[in-house]
Amino acid sequence: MSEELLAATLAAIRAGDRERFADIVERYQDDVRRFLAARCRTVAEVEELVQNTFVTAYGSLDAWTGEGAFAAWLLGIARNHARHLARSCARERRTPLDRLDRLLAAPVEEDGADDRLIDRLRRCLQRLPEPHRELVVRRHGEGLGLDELAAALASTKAVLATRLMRLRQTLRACVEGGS
Amino acid sequence: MTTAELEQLAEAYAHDELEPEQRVRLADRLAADPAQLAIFARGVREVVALHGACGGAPARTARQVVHRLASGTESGRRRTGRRIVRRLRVRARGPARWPLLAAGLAGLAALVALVVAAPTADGPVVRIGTVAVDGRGHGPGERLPWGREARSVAGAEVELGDGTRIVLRPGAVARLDAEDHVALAAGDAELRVRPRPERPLRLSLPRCTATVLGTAFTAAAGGASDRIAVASGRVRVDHRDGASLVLAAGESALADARGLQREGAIATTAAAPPDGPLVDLLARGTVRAVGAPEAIDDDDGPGGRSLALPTRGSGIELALPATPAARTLHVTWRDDDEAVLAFRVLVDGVERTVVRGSGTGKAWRATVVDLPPGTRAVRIESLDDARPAQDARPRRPYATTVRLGTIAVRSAADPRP
Repeated sequence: MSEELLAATLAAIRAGDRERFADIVERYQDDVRRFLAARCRTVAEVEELVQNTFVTAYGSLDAWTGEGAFAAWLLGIARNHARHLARSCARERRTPLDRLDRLLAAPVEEDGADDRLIDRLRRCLQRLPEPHRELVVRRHGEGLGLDELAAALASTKAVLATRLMRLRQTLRACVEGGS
Repeated sequence: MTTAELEQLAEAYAHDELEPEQRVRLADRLAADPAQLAIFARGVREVVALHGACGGAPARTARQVVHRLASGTESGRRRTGRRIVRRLRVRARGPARWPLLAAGLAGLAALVALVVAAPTADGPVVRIGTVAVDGRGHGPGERLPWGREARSVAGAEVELGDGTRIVLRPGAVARLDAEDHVALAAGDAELRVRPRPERPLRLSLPRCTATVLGTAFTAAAGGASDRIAVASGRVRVDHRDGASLVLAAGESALADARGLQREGAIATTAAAPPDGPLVDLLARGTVRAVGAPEAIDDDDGPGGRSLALPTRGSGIELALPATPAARTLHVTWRDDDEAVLAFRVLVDGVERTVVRGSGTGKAWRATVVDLPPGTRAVRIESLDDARPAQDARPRRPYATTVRLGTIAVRSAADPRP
């Protein structure tokens, strides 16, 4: 979304045509999702906080002054939600954690390492052959289950699981090698 | 446990696909072996990072967000949510892949359109955004030629000469042939059509044609099916196989290779819950959870608390003051394309209605139950364990909940939903 279109969209929302908020969601959700993926423990958490971020932004739209980048403002909201979730989980009030969750409940470090990991992963993804990239995106981006993928690709779950694991190994080597 | 097994389990954990029993066994193993825990944690982190790197399903997220907006307690937010949900109820279903026959027909139609409807000075005007035609971008205020393929990259709004407005969502491809004919080849569009009985607008999709009888509606041309949802007025939908039906406000239809089907057995135009939020009833102590302590979910979202029905028999019971007047119970719930919803409503212990979700799309729906004079208790309980609709993927209970957004009791004299 260009700055011009963003300004027009926000102006329309502020003038009362708030249904245009859907455009904001579509434009910025990938930025928000990348940001949160570096700060959450599961894909479900990421998706929930993406929604929470936009819901909060919708209610606070009048508070955005127009100074700075709109994406940065959204990411500030996302950061607050991520911190709130971490605090809530630490107190086990929001979502009761089972033992497995607790084993993985180490606080996310805000050192930017996961942000860099995601950036590198994006670059490495682009280097995968198209069919392989599509498989990774459908599984990990769109969250399709192995059953769905197997049906769609006329394959079996076992074959796809193995293929996906190899692709992850390839991506890991790419990320670690920086190549 | 091998590294490969751990990595596959990590992938399943990150996607919430582990069964509860698997989680318990895995926790036992990992707690006893820090090395395996490290491998598992790395795998989880990689999968979540991959999710961030890949990006999600844009239309799906937008739908979920607007549904949550629609469940807000602020009246203005509700109205906005309704409008947005109407726009997005049938959002993108993936990139379109035209069957060869449809592509041939579309090509022929485009050729005809080029001949009979050459670009004129009264072509459609871009109001918002940019529309690309023949590789050239057209911005706000510019006119588009008739009969050419128009592509919206970041979303745009186009106005026809009679005031009809067409919102092309990002990625939508449409051909504006004339004021009475538009073809949507791919993606989503929202149309607000000026009533024009003598020359109704026809919207062609790969598998069906919608004839507008004066209305606002949304359309999505997807990979395997097309969808039409009517916000107001009426639309006639004609499938290529000859089937036809007329949709009224609040109704939608799906056109695919099997034919044309009306969707949603119990659907209303109420995209968002009306007044009487559950949270108020909870605050007054007139509702209690039954069957499962987690039935009332403490959700800190804008919709306040909501009701989850994760297991058979879980639900709520409303205690009502007995009155000599008849009343109506309005139940609004969010249907979900990821989980099948089935619940029943009992009035003073007698089953009065059973609701089964369609499992075909996220949408707010509502039903009304008559409460006879003297009614003291209403119970709403799940008929089934919540389960995925489209597949057999195991999910954790909180991920499969279906929520009741609003339960309102009104006098029979004021039955408005």
